[in-house]
Amino acid sequence: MVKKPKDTTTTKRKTVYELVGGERRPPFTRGIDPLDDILFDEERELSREVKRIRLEQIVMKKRREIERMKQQGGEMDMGSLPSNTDFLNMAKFMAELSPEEAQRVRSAYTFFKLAEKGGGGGMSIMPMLLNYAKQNPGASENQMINYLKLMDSQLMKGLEIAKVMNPKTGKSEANEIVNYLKLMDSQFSKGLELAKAANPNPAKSDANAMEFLKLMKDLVIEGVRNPLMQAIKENQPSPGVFEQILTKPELWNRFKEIGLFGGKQGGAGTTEMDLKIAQITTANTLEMKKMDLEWRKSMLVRESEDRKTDALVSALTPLSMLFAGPLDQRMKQFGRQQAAGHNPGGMPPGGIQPGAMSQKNTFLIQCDCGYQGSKTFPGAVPSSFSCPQCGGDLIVGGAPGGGEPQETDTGT
Amino acid sequence: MVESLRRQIQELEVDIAELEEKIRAKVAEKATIAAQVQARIFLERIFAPYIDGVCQEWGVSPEEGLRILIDDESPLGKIAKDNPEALAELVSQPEVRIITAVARPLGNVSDEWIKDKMTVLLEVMGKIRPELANALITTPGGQKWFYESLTGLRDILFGKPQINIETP
Repeated sequence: MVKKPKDTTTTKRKTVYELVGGERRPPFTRGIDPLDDILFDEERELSREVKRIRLEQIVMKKRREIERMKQQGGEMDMGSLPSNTDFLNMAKFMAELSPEEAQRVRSAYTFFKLAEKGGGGGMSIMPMLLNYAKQNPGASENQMINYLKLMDSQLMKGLEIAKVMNPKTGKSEANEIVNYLKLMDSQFSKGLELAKAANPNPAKSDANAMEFLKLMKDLVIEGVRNPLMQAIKENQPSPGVFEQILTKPELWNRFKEIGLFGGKQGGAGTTEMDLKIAQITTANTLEMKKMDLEWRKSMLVRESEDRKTDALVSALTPLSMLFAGPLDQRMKQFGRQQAAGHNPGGMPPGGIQPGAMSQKNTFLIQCDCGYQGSKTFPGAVPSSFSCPQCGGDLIVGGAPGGGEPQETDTGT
Repeated sequence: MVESLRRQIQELEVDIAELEEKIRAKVAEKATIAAQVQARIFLERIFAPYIDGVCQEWGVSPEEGLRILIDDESPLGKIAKDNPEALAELVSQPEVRIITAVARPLGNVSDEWIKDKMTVLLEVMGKIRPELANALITTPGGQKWFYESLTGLRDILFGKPQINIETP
């Protein structure tokens, strides 16, 4: 016979009590006794609570994953901002300008950034300004500022139109800025290539380039990167109250204590501690009941084994038989003494003669009150006597209906 | 642990219920047996000879004498009370003292107990002296007379119980 190998790969599902670290035991079943019902309800409540917590954990985990993915996506966007190489290229392009033009560009850009109020241009308008300066060598500082204002306003309008056409959350606005910067970056690169083609000897004026680079670095950090980071931070979805409760253990425990999430509903212990307390209380109650029942049982056993009455009863009959003869004699003598001193119903002194009792001394009574019975006179029959029921006078030998007893024919 | 305790308690409850039923049945049985034995002693050794003596003095049969006493509403206790010297002499006799000591539990029974056990007492009387039992049953007022005679004799022989103790 071939035995089927035991499947060790499948694991037995744990009960709720095993999950919370409790004892191993079969699940409660309803209907055996009221205590079972209570424990059954508690177990179901606990099971529901464990499921709820598990579901919340899953939700939290998924949310964190989403946040992480979003953050990674954001970092990728941030990585596409103008790199140092781009800044260097921009600086070289700047170096192609005459010192006066370069100074006007710097002044115009700085003035514009200082006067800017929530504008979205930032770094994106810098290549445009450079192109403007390149195409308009004699342009004044004010003209450059006006150009920047115009470009900035156009940029903001473009963003607003894009937002209306594609209503997304705030985070997408930052992404659009980044995308726009990418577009501008590509335009800037093209500008650099054109500049290179126009000036094949770029080695001159390196000092100016380095100086401009420093300025650009500060401008980029203050004007572009910081506002962009701020916007991203502000548009970050803040966690809700429920999520905060779930992620902060102290809040979770506090809300459990005050009964949120069904912690105190119906008085049933749902937390592990509540369950253990309930178990201990139940065990103590049962232990007390058991002790009480054991004491009661011992008392009953002792009572059931009591043989005193049996011994007494069994001793009575032989003892009475032992004294039967003398006692009978004593009692008869006592009875005779009593009878001699007691003469009921006109009993003749010395008693009646043998056989006298059979001679017309028992009468049938029919009283007006409805009483019917017999009356025996051991001695001389009286002329009248009282009815045993109503107490009325009855005349011996009288006719029925006249309150008189009739002689019976019983012969007793 | 809780499950084990519940099982033990269930077993204890079953045991206790059985013991209580057993004791209840045993107590009732013992009470009946004791009442019958004591009643038999009382009726056979005290009541019947006394009636025999009375009827012998009057020259009537025991049942006729019993009917006369019933009709005259003269229970035994009343008659005995009327002759205190004879009663004192009787109680001082050794055999009477022994038998009253043996039947001492009857001295503690209450009037209610005697009334309740009247059926048992009459059954016992029917076994030892059927003609007396018949007279007590058939004569109007017979059972009342019997009850008063028993309580009266109890008081004379044992003294009136100070408290009504329900004894089997």
